[in-house]
Amino acid sequence: MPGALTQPQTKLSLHPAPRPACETALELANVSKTYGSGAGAVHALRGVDLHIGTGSLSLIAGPSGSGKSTLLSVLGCLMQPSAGSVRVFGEALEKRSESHRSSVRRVNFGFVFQGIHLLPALTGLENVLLAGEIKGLSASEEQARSLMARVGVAELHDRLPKDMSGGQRQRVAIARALFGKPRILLADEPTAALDRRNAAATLELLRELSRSLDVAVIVVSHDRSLFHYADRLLELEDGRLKE
Amino acid sequence: MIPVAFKNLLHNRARLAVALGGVAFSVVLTLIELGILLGFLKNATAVIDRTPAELWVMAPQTPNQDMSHPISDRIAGQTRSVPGVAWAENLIFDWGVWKGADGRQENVQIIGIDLDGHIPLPLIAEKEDLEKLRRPNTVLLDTAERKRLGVDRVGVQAELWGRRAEIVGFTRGGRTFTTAAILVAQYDQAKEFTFTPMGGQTSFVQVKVADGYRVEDVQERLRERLSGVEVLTGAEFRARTIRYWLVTTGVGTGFLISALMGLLVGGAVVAQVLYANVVEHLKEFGVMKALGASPWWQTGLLLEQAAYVGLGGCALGLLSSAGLARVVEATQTPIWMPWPLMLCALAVAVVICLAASMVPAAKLLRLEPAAVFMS
Ligand SMILES: Nc1ncnc2c1ncn2[C@@H]1O[C@H](COP(=O)(O)OP(=O)(O)OP(=O)(O)O)[C@@H](O)[C@H]1O
Ligand SMILES: [Mg+2]
Repeated sequence: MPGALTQPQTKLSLHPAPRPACETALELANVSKTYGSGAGAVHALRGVDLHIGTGSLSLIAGPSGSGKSTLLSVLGCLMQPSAGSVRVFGEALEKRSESHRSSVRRVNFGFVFQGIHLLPALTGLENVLLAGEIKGLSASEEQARSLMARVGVAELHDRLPKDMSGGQRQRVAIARALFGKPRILLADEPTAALDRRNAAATLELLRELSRSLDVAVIVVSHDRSLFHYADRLLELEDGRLKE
Repeated sequence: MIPVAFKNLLHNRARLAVALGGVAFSVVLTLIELGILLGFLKNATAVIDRTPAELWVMAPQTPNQDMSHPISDRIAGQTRSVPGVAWAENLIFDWGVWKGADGRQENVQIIGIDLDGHIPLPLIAEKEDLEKLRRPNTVLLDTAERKRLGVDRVGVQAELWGRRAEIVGFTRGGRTFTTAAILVAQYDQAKEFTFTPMGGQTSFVQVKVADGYRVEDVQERLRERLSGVEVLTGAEFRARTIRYWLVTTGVGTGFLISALMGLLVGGAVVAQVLYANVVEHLKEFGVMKALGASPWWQTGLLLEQAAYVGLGGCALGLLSSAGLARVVEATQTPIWMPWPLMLCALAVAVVICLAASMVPAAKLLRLEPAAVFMS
């Protein structure tokens, strides 16, 4: 699917007021990913071309096994594609070292996961601060508190994850992902562990954050009821992208 | 800085308790084991350690302090005529058989010294008790073995190789490697009490070197002058004694192996606990990796946890060992835990804990950051 993807897609979005991307955050050109080799090889991605800009929410949908997580891993520089190139804010990464990719990841990316995965021993605030510490930022508590307030969990500073609801945990995880002002936020099925109301609220929050913080938010989900939150819907089928 | 390592450990208290207990147990095992070994070795050289004499004359190939062979007691006289010898005195240190009034028989070690000489006893004796030894057929018994010989008071009579012997007092702190009961008698008297009567013979001659002479020179001169005997410095005799018990008998190897096992057990427990922690929180660690945590940061986290476990467990272990040492001492088993040994235990335990943390660290370093998405 060459060219033509620089603008956010709107026709599938039920939500009005799409905005043009402020900046191109990610570019994939002819990206393939094959697991294994020979007869047992699995072609998880086949010739994917994709441009994603900041300031909007893209939603990746598709049946199980279609390659959604793989695509997200490649987008997030967590995984090297078997072929093709990945550019992050214009910088090609395929020939760079793992430590360089790791530092690109630290600076540009935030991640939100299906399992949420807050550290159980740390309070909400500490979990957010830890992201700053890992990224080598002078972890300012003020910044962490304002992020938590921003995602609506200001009151959970001192609470341990086990004492939070699933939706609250996911919001803390989003605050954690946003620490250090990343320009790209990747979320793999962030709503899978949540009930319908919390799932909708989470997507609502992510879309709102994408605009106000000018972040490229990319969400994997196969929950059709959430598709209308997307500025752009990308459908994967058997490793191929169709929009 | 968030104390992540600390909080992680405290979060699962049961597991922390197992880890601390494991390290403590291993430290106790190792310390008690080595402490007893050191205690025995200290006893094994008690006589050598106590004397101010620098040189020892003995039968050739004498393996250790406790297993002497008789040599002629004229040697002391010959020794005294060698220039550089301040004094030379005989010491009986041999074996006898105790036969109590109640019929019980025990092998005992008999020390015989010149009451007016320079050789100190390897135990504590009151002056007035020593004076009583001037009477014939008298001995002092070390309190440590009173029960074993069934002696409850002064005045008890027994037979030593057919000779009547009366306990006229008690000594304290007498210990040998063999843990046999120690009897002290006057030099000439002791010769009659030993297993093979030692008329005209002695076990050792101790030699004090005069001021202004080099020990090696006097040793060399004695070797030239005396025939049929061996002349060792105290250090040489001590080394030979220790080597005998440690190497020749295999006792040392046994102790060292069990001490090593103790350390391995502790190391395995710590590795297991840290590993379980990592496996249980693999996703969280994967998240940290995805967030950009460097391998150093993650390894550092594990090392920090291991160090806490090591130090905490060791503190527990040292305290318990000190307590247990008292108990062991009360059973008359020699035990000696000098502070350098404690420090070594601390250092080794921490190093082993740190090494053990490399097992989960290897797992973490292999962890694909993408793995957190693939669930
Ligand atoms: N590490 C791997 N080794 C081999 N095959 C893999 C690996 N990871 C994924 N695959 C395969 O690649 C294909 C795409 O997997 P992927 O996880 O990206 O799918 P997905 O769209 O996220 O599926 P789901 O909706 O179930 O999460 C699947 O066929 C999967 O079995
Ligand atoms: Mg998936």
